[in-house]
Amino acid sequence: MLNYAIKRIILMIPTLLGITLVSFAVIHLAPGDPTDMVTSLNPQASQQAQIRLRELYGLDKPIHIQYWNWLKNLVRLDLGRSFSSDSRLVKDKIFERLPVTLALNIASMAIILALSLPLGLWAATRAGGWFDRMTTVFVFICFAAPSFWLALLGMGLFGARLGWLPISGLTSLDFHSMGFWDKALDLGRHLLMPVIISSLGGLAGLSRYLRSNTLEIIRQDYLNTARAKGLSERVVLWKHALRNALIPVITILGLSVPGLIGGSIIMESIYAIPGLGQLFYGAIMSRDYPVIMGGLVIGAVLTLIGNLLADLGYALVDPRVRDAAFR
Amino acid sequence: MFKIGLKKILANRLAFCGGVVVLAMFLVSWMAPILAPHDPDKVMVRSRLRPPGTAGHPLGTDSLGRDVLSRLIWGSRVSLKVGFVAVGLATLIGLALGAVAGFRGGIVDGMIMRFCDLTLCFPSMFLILAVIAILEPSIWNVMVVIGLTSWMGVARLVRAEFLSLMTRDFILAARAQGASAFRIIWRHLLPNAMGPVLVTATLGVAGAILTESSLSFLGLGAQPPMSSWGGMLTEGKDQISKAWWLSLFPGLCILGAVLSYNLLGEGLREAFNPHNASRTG
Repeated sequence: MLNYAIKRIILMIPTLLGITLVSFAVIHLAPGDPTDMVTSLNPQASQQAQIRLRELYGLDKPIHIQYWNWLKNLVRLDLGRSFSSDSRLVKDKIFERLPVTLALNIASMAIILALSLPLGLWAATRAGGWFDRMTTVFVFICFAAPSFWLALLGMGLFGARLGWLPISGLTSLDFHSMGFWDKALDLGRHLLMPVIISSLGGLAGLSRYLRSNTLEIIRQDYLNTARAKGLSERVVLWKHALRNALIPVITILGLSVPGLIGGSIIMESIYAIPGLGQLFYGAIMSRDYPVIMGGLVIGAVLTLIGNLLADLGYALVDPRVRDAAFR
Repeated sequence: MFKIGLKKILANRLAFCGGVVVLAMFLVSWMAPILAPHDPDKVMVRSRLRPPGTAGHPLGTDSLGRDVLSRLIWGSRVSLKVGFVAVGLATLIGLALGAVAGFRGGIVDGMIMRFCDLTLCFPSMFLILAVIAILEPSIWNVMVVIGLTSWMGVARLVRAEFLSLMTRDFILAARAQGASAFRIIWRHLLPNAMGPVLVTATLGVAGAILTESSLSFLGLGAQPPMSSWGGMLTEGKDQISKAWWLSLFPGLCILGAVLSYNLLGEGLREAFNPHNASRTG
């Protein structure tokens, strides 16, 4: 297993290099010069100041050297300083916001997993029935409804009209004076809407997938074998069929990581949640290049980690893959 | 194949409805100048934030007094344009790369597929936002960037189709007759791979409309005063406590458009699925 994990991690290195190359290239598509941004905001910045800045950021060097220097710094997690007025380290800016985004996405994943399993399986075992039809309608609507629109409607209905839930931020103003349970409740109330809404898409996808996968499995011969042995229909479905239907779920969850992370940009900027997505959006609007580059790399690395975990989970669960992996 | 497909689509009620809405959308956006009751950009300060049902403004007006219905009708043009141009671009790139990878195999195939995996690794929203922010927010940039970041599905699909088709006898026969590589790809492989590509493209239009609307919502897509459904929702957000209709209707339009393309795509998928074909005759 360890060997397999190490092999997988080594295989990630070329992809990582590719990611850094694309991130670097994207930034250098920019017309003009990143230093224009810093200097143009400040009319007193002279030509000389701009030249000094270019030297400071190494922009006077040939492009491959710039890339190499950036890469060297990246390995040491040195992503440079933000162009914004606080000019803090990009690393600090990203890592103080990462936990919020991770927590949001893990909570969404948990909801997706917890709800899509019963939904998908029930729909499959009652294919064609009213429950199946209802979930099909639900799935298609979840696929088609833009999440930011649902977020808006939720804010309007539960926040503005009914006043049940807060509509922005992570905590209330008096958060610091609350006791532990009140703090937990307060956080929960703030996160409830964003988490549920950002999990709808994945929920629809996974339950749909589980449904069709279970329908395939139900036709398999080994289920007939199980029935022929005299096992009850319940055991056949919930043990023999379910276990096999579950295996690909790991892959699907791994594949949904980029979507969730990308979605957090929209969710976090709508609900004013101080996470990575909001940071990235702010950086884009103010053309804060070091933060944009850092965000691109971190987003892609998170995706890679998601894929890696999915592969390892697959190897753990599926004996066919496990045997090959252990060897 | 396409004839059978058409017949099946007509038999599949949901897919048929999807197709009808898609056609209706084409008509509405084509006839926008005739259908829209008002000039979508005309500011009427005296009739601001009128609720739906107001005389002359069936769906109300926004905070500048512009007619919501007219803006929705004109906004359909943006969604359609983006959907088709972006998906057209993605499909062309995907077809070309997938065909080369599947036909040539070996190192070329490996490299193209690595590149495909690499592009899939980026949360596409991050990549799209970064590129658009750096270029300049405009509807054309949105189309190009969506196209450039969504070709991977088609490429993988075409490659897989090619790999399975190339083991078939009719390709061997074509080779034995001395057909050129181009001819084999163009006349024998591509036409047989087009069904799944059409399905992916139809579903892709739905995805592109969704992406465009989120970009416009974030202020990085269609720029004001151009009316787009996503951009209208940005304003809906500002007026969320005062004017619910500004949030509701544009979202319903997006939902309806995306849903129709999805239903049509799913219907096509079922129609082209040989598994189903053999079962139902």
